[in-house]
Amino acid sequence: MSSRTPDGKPLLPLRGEDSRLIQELIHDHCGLSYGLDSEYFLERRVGPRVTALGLGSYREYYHYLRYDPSGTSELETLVERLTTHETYLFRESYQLEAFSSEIVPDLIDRHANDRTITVWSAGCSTGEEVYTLAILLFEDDRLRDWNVRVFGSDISRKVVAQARAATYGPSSFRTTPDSVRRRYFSERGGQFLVRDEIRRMCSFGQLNLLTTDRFHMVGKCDVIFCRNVLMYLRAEARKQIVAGFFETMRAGGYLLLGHSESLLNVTTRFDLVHLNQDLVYRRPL
Amino acid sequence: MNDIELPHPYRHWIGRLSSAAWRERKEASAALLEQVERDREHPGRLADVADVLLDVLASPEALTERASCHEVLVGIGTTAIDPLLRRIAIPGASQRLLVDLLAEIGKPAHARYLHAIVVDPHADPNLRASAASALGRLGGQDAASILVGLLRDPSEMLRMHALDALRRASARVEVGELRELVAQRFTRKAAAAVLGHSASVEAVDLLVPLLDDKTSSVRAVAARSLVLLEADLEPMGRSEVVHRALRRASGETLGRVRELLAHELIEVQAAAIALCGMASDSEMVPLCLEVMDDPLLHEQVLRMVGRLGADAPLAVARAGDGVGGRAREHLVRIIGAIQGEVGAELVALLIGALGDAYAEAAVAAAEVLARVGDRSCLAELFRAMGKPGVLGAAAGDAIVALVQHSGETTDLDLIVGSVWPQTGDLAANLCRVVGELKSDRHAPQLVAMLGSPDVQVRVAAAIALGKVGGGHGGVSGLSFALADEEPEVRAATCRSLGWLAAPESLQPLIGATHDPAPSVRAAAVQALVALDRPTAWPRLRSIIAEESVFTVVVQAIAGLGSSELDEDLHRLMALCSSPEWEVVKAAARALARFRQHRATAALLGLLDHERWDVRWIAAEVLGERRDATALVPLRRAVVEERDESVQNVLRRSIQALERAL
Repeated sequence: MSSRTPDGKPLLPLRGEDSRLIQELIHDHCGLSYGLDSEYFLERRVGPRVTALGLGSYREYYHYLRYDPSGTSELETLVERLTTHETYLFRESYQLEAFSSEIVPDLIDRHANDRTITVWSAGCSTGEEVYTLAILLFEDDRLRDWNVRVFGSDISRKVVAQARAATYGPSSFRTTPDSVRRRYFSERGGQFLVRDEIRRMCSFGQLNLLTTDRFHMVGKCDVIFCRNVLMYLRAEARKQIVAGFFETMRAGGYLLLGHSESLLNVTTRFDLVHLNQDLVYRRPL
Repeated sequence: MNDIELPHPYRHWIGRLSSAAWRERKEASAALLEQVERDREHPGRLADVADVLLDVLASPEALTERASCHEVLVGIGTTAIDPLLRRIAIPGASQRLLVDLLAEIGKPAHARYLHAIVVDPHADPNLRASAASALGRLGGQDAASILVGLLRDPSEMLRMHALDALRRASARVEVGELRELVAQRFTRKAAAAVLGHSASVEAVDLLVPLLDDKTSSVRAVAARSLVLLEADLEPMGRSEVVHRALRRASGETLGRVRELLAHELIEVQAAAIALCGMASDSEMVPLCLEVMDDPLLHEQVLRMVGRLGADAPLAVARAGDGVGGRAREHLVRIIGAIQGEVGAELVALLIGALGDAYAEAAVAAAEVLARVGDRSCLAELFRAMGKPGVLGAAAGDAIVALVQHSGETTDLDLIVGSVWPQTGDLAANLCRVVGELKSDRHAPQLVAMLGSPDVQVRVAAAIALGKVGGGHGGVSGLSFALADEEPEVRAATCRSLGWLAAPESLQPLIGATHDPAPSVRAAAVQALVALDRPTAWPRLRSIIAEESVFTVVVQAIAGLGSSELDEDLHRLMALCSSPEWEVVKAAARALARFRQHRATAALLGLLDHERWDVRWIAAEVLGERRDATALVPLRRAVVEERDESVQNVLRRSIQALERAL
């Protein structure tokens, strides 16, 4: 879509001061930095929003974001255009294996009294990870009469709505065993709907991870999956979010990051735990 | 140990750093970091704290407190550098800890302090490796020179550390220095990563064969390096060397590149897509549909398709079989990225997609048809124009583009017809189409539409009347619309009156600056500024004094830029000290046309502003004003300025003033 001003002229390229001001607002809103240094990418993503709002320049758009009562909601829309990341079910199997065979048994031992496990998928995108974790927990017979919740959050309203719809196309199953797909999904016209018993274990919400004061809505967590999210954020944002995770976790709770992510230079509050299948972080007991 | 006497909180918490309990040490370091933040204004005190902590860190007995000491020293930051540098050359077990600390808080100029450690063949290899890594983190030319020297070290481990550090520093290394390291299996991957920053065409012949390497991680690194290399060669006009080499690559090699699309790192996926574009490998197209949900990869795929040339339409048509939902939207976007003719088959696919149940695919189809469609698409687009929301608007835009392209005014008459609906999406979009095509023949219909019961139609008609141009009697119709009960209509009317720039718009627009809705006031002020009439200045001045909404004030300030009156100069100078920096920037911009020297002085004062964007604007405007008295302060400012972008603006302004002398 070509981006134009209300009087039909093409928008000037997004450069220099305006580009940096918009990047700064995005950083402050959600910590996102990855990809924004490419003015080509930023312009392609921001330009259509300027046109859609009938504004005449990127500077007007910046003013709109900062001063207009709808600015916050527009910022969410913009971030949505910058951050929807592709994912699929049963991604990074070694980590899921570590979750099922090492972390869950530990939680079962420690929570034998309250029989409650809460898992949070922070930055869940379209929900594949949430349903994957719910399936893994559902398959553990020891948890049959436990209160097991998997909560998924994402900054994008759009992907949270998709996650709630719980419907996936064939490409979401690229690493899912056929038997699992047959057992937990029902097919409708080439799309696959998550079965009710799994959906009942899951809930979703829209959450900007920088708003750590809202983390209490998740409740005390036993495991937080935050895979391939922190790597897109600025260092200060990472620190703030990880500090929020620490406070939200129960003692002994686990934090699982993407395979190329670590807490090096972020915090030393977590213990690094060497599981057989993976290295994970744990809030000290 | 030194005899520094620290204030009580520091002594207390530093003592607690040696607690046996992990939790207590954590508590102590957190408390110390809080205290450090409170004492930022006392660098001398912080330097004393750093001195004491460095002694603790260096103490062989202080094993438990090391990690916490390090954390606090990093928190102290640059103030800890001087005491650190006094200790770093002293051999001992703590030297490595100091090297690691320097890596975190040092600057490129500190590379020389690590030189002696790195080149000492008798030093502990682990210490040398740490120093090499630290050089990579410090970066800069000195660090790169030292690290290149280390590439010839007999120790494989040190060569490896040197390569990693060079990659981290994005250092430009001569290809000859890396050739042998690429040949060695152990150092191949790291050397390939450094080649990506070499900006040399010689690197191409080393990197392309690595796309076939047995190790997948080497293939991934080679792909990323080729993309980095191509980007660096592009400004030199040499990127074609990379493209040619990739076009010569075998089918097997390209197949391996395509496999990288399944890589877990997005950077590698993006590199694979980019390389396929450079190689004109159209077989990548269908595979890309699966990753296009990611916005970065989405844009990368569109770029790739743009590079495919004549093979693109056929490849895209093949990829389209059986594709639905979101993937269909991606496919449509891909068609839009094809350079040149797309062919009848793909146009038919786009027309079909206008009715797609997946709304985004239908919208994308309308947007792409605007570029690749022809007159045969008009009927279907007209039908789509009656659809609600974005699809109807996009179809209207497509009709405008196609009619403009064909130049046939009869097409417009066929589409618009003689009787318009009064309400609904079709009516609103018809207004938009007529406005975009600047069809003054239809002005009477547009004026009539200002009385539609449908708000969206009234907004569209108001905007369209502004675009159609003058001489159609629309100004009086629009003036009435300033009394519309809906603020969207009034704001659109203000914008249109500004575009029409008719003298009789002035008073209605001044009246609209009193509107209860801020959006209408902002639009009215913007239109007044566009009219640039001195009779509007008194109203703009009172808006600056009384208005509470920043967007309105910022617009009004811009309107005083052409007054050149002393009273406005004073007003703008006063606004330069506003706590709201967008107001300050607007005032600075408005000062550009004031010839009085005091305007220069006010702008020079802003070169010390805490916000980088205020300093940027002040520097830019000082360059535009051509007042040579600003030259010396600007030269001083460029030395003191810490922000690289602002430095560049300052340099440009200095050059402009020097040229003007």
